[in-house]
Amino acid sequence: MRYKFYVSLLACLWSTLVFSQLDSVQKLNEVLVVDRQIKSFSTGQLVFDFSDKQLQDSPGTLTDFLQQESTLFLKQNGYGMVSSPSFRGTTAQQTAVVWNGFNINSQFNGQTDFNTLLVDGYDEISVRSGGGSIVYGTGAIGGSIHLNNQMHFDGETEVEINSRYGSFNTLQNLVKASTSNDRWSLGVAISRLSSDNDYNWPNTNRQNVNGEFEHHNLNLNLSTKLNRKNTLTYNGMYYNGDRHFSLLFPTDNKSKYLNEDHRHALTWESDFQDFKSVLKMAYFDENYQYIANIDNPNPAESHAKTALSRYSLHYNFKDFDFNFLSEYNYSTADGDDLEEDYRTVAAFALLAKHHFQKLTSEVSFRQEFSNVYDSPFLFSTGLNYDWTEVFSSKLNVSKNFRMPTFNDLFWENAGRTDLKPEISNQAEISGIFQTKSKHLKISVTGFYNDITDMIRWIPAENAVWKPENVDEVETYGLESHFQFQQEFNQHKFRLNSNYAYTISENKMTGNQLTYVPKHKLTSGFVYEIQNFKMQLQSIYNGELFTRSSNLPNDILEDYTLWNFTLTYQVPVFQNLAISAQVRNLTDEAYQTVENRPMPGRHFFINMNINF
Amino acid sequence: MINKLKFFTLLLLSIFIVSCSDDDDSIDEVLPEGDYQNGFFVLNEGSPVGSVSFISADLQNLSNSIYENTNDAQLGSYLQSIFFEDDRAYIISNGSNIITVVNRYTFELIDTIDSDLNVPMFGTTHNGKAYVVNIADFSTGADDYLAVIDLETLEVETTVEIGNFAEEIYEDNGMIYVQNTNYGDGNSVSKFDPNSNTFVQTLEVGEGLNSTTVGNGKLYAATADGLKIVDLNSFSVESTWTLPTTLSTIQNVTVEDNSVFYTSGTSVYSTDLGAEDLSDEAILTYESNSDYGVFYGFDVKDNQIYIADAGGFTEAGTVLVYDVSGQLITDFTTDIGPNGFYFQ
Repeated sequence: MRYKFYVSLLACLWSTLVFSQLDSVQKLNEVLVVDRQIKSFSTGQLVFDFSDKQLQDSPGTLTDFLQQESTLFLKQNGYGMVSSPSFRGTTAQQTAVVWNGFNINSQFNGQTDFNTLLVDGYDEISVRSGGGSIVYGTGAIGGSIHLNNQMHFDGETEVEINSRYGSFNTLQNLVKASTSNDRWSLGVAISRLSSDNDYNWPNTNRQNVNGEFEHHNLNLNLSTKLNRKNTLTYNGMYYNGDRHFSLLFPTDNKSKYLNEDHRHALTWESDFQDFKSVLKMAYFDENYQYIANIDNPNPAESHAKTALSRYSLHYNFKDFDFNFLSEYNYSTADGDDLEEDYRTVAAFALLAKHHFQKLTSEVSFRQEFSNVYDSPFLFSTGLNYDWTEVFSSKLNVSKNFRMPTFNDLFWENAGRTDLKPEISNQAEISGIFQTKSKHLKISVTGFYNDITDMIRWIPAENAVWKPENVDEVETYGLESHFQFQQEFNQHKFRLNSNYAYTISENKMTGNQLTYVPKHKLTSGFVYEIQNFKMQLQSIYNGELFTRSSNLPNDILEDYTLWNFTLTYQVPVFQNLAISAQVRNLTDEAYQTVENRPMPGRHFFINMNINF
Repeated sequence: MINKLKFFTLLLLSIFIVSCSDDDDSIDEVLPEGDYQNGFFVLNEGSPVGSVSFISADLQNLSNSIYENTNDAQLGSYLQSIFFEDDRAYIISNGSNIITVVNRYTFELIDTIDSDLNVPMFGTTHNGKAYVVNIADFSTGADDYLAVIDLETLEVETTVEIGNFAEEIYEDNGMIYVQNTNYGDGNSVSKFDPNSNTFVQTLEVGEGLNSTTVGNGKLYAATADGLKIVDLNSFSVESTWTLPTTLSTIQNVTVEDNSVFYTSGTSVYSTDLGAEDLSDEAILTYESNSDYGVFYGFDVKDNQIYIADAGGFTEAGTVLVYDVSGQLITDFTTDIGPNGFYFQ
């Protein structure tokens, strides 16, 4: 049934492609970015962008991608299971996931399960460390992950087909196509990822049981220029996940988790003189079912709907860029464990940026008003300064927050509406060295983050856990990035590396938060010659504490993972690339969550066609 | 290599222990059958994988994770309780639907019972059989059942639907009694006849029934009204000791040495069994930072009060031992979620 749907969709797509190719006379090199603020208002912060070509090298989920390419630590309850990030030593709820400018963290628990998002439907992913509540609102404390689609009006038509098969019967397929003329632009991506995920647990005689999953993802983006000054854009995503949760012991009851999310956004951009006006209307729908025992299903279901409108006015005046933002957000949720209720948030923000010779400075403010919590006045201020052609520095100070989620507020017999939002005051300073040729780039960032009123669910009377504003946490550390590329003759080298040193202390006990490694180092080395490309990647995660007491035996040991990929571009058919990958080359036995072994050495073959 | 080393260390230790007792004790003393002969076990529920700790009778030595260290394996997630029969201990994991059978003195694995169980909670034995309460789906009491296990074959022989919430289970004078509550729901106790494998009677004990204990042919129950005493012979509420107005609730009822002990908030109280008026004078009050982890395990034995505090469940919990006058004797750090004491 599902496949029929895909086939008919493809058929539709093809006819559009053929049609549009005939239509493309003019070539305009213009890109429409839906999330403007990430590009223009990140003064004082580092933003790392990854193109869709880089996304293809990862096996699909946001977890796999980010743990290789960023300083985020991701803990997984076994491969492909619930995955939560820690960004700069903060909690999973303090990392915002932003889809085309909208924060899409779950309304229920305020976090994103990084194994329920596939990267390959997007044209660009950006990772920004540090606070971002001014534009992206709640949860942008440790940092934010931006999933963006781009609309081109260049008359080009591109189709990409990618197919990957590997160990544990893992199969991943992607069809991605885009086409445009000077007035219309269309992008579609359909992907599917499934795996039996029944890997052997290294150093034991056990297998991963009940770990199978199947994800479907659909992205649809359509943009039209109504006239020279007005553009209308639709962005849509649909995600469907069917995931079993792997067992700790073979006799555990088998559980599974189904979730279905769809999100739609309509953007109307108009330009007049020095102004740009952007009106967005969006609707998000998230739905999940948890089945505690698949042999005797009694699903617990929850459903949240969010409608929001956002108006953004950009104004350029001489060396100044101004942006006024206002947003109204109405969310409602109900479920088997939730008292049906709603939350409204109105937000106003003002962002101002000024360029003066080598100095760029930015000041911004945000105030929210909600029916269920008192929101703090937020600010962010940043400076970029280019000392020389090769050296620049950045400074950012901001106040950010995370609001109580629907679970915190309305969980049956436990939620409380008197919770305060979590507050983060933070500062960071970066130095960036980049050679004129851009072959070498090194950056070092020091950060400090003070978080108060952190919400934690703590055991209360009668076996009920209730949320409370109890914790105060101080995080600080260093992040550094290194990138080098060189070509001579037919040889191309590329080397990149990320290192993070993170201290995240509970202020009351002085102990490091659980599941925050002090050290994380990732590296990637690529060598290309003629039709061959070799890629060697490594991830080192330092030891971490599994318990808040930080006793010497409360740890998961450190580990290093290696992946190796060999790609061959087929000469007779230049659009076809075939690659083979070994993951966890050294067959390292490791866990990212206690008692949850991860797979040993495993293999993928991949076929990619672009035309 | 490490195992060999462990073995030799143990061997050396055991020689040492044996020789010590040979030298020092002139009185006839049974030679230890294992390392865990003299003392008591603390069951740690886990988050999620649990463990068992052993504390020596003289309160001098604590050994954590004794099953893992003896057998190089784990007991399962969310360990709920232990029951004993002869020289065997049966450790119930409700998250993993498994009962691990070990020698109670050596803690060496004998076998496991791992079929026909669905969230097993508590067990008791009678006449070569074990009776284990299973709650199945957490959200309803309707599917709760009793698994009857043959202790020879370690197979579930039959299952009997309870049709009600179920928690603690006791054997007294050839009959089995089940406390029909679950996390605040339910207010009765039912009687099961092991000869016919049927529930023969259900008794409403009282609102807010939260804990029970059985001794001297009676069942003592902490309820919202106070202490109810059920005569098991006639299976009826014999008397009610009204809750003192100064206490909001009583919990963790246990009977020892002609006194009934109970807790309220972070305090321990006791009343002489002949008194009939519940005392509101605390024997001791201890500091706990957790409303749920407070008195996560509680017991009184031989003039000593044993308290397990689970704290926030994010780190190992604490075991405190007091004398009955309320003086702290010692404390231990065991593992996550200590929930019960089992004395050899």
